[in-house]
Amino acid sequence: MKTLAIKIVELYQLSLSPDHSKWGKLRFPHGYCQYFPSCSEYTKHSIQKNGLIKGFFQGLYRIIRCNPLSRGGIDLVK
Amino acid sequence: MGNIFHLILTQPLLNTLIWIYNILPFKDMGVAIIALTLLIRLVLLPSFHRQLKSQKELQQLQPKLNEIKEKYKNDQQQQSKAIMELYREHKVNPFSSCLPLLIQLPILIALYSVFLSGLKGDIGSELYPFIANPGDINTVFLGFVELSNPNLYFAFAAGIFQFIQSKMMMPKNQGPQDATAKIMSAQFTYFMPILTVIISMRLPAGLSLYWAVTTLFAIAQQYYIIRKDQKRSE
Repeated sequence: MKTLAIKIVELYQLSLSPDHSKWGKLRFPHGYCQYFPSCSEYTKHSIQKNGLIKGFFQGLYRIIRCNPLSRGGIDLVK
Repeated sequence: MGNIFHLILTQPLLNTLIWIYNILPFKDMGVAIIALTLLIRLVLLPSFHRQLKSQKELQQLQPKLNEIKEKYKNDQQQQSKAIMELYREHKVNPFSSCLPLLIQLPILIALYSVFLSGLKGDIGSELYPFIANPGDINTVFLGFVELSNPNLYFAFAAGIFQFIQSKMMMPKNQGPQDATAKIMSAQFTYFMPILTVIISMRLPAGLSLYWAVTTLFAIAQQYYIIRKDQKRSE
């Protein structure tokens, strides 16, 4: 299950992600996500480290924080 | 989940649409759809201007950026971190954020269902108490286009506008690109507009009208950016 979830995130990064996909790097040469690592990368790390359920919610919480009102910055998985 | 979605997205949007329809001096659902579309794009305008501003500031930082990139050539992580620090120091925020990106799809789905029910007229139970029920809804746009049926011209208009938009978005003179990147941008430029036409041909023309208007707005924004860029480089 965990491996599958990570594969799904990686598939997203290859195809749709504005930060990691080929077209995204063309369109947004300075990066899209205001955090480092990006939301999808953060979610991936969190699933690897904390398991599927906690990782899912941590990732979701990160995406909610990644809004126009927040300042962004460096934010690693705890 | 479906209930929350309905409560916070679909219902408010539907009520706004009907409110606009009610205050129009002439009853035309097509004009109401255009007005709601423009209203949504106007709400999003401030974030667009913020992006423009940071683009300008970013160009001034370019030498320092190149310095960092040279320094941490082999360490992607260190490089990203140093760049983030630089942005923070100079109070530049060139980034977008993920939430608006991921929320666009639900809004699009909500708008589609709003325009569909606006065109069908089955709205009685959805209206807030302070929004008057307009009764029969006039779905004939400008007196000659029936918006609740598919319309070939509108479908093609939506596709053509989208083609123009993606053509404008294509970065010019990006230097050598690898093959995959080229294929990807070609797909965006040619495949997506064709898909738009095919899908719009089956949907009520009111939805194609929405798509055409929202894309036209994006084209205008893009044109504004390009003009500004040219002025700067002169």
